[in-house]
Amino acid sequence: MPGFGAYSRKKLARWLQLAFYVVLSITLMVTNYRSPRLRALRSGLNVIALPLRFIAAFPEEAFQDSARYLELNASLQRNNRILRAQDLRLRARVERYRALEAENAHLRKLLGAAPRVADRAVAATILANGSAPFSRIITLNRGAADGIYVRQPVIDDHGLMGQVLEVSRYSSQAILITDPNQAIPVEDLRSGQRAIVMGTGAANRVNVPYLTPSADIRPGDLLISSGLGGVFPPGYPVARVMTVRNSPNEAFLKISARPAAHINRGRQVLLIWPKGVSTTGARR
Amino acid sequence: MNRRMPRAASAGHTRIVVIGTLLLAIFLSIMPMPAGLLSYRPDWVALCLVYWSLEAPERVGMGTAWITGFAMDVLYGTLLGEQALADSVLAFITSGLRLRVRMFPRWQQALVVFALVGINHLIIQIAQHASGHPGGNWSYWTSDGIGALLWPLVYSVLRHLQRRTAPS
Repeated sequence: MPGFGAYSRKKLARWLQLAFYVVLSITLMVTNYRSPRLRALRSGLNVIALPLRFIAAFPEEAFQDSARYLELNASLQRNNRILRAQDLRLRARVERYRALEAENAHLRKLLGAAPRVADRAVAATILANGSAPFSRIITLNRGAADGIYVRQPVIDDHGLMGQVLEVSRYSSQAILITDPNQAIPVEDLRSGQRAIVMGTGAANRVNVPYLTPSADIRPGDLLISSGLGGVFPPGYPVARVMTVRNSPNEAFLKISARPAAHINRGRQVLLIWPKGVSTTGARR
Repeated sequence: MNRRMPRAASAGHTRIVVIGTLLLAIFLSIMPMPAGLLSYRPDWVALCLVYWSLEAPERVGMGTAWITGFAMDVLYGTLLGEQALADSVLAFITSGLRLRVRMFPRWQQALVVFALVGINHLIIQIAQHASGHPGGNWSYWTSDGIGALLWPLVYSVLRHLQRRTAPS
């Protein structure tokens, strides 16, 4: 090596420092990717990060609160009227639903099948929608202290939103169905056609890949979760088919759908404990 | 020039400003906002790191950048080490270009910043690809472009804060 002056020694030190940090990062990434060993560390760090998230969420919350406070009396009254009407409609529907439930239980008993149990749910507030490149991850204000577990389904009042990815003591992170890493087994409510819904990274679009032109699926169809993957309970709306394109050059249909859940709107979600069909069924 | 250089002044104050602005950048990056605007949010943390690597390299080096990136990994829920890697490389490249870039006019600096933030995102993208994340959409470049456009503003605000701490 040419004369080791102070300058080149400094340069070397810089490169060594870079190498150190690169190796450190890659080691961390590989460990984090390969094994769940870092999960405890991460959930600990998330507890520390919680106040940060609360503070960061504050301006938006204050803005929304003041917007609500300033809402005009007239619009409040109108809203109230609409909600009352909706309440009445929903009540009527619930009554009918109850009758159907009873009938269903009766029929299931006749068939010897176990009854479907209603899912337990807890409401959670979205604290942050992280915007790391390409991923759709939200932070919720419920954690292990509330009994939240990894892979727990997250829904809103319109449909399936995603599943819990990581849990720390007082908060958890959920990955949305629009994340490119997510795929959900579904079935077409109209035809029973089985399919898979995949996220695209876009906020209000998902894809339905791998369906051949012979598949029975049309624009407007509602896709509900089929429960086949074992993660999501069956019967929740997932997406509504928007377009079905059949190009003769390709083996599969190009189908895009819109998530049923209101992914961008609202700050309240539900975490559910699906029970599905209990294994003690098939009474003799 | 009879005004003293800010970094010659008081190290303690500069440190507080550095930590304060980095925290502010982190807050701006995790603030909830309408999903439609998410892809336009500039990478405040990267911009802040670029500024401090240019103007106070003895305070903010690869180590600070790494820790900041690690905090972002925790906050974003990404693979631990992903942003940390990208940010420490960012600090390395920035401090290497430091003597030249500081002489550039502001708009030319903005071009360099665009390239730097772009490299930062490229590293993240490569890391995500390697970890099986199929993502890859170009909307990220719009946020880099917005970051570059905002650079003159970020620069003058941070410069102002840095100068204020120096007793003249």
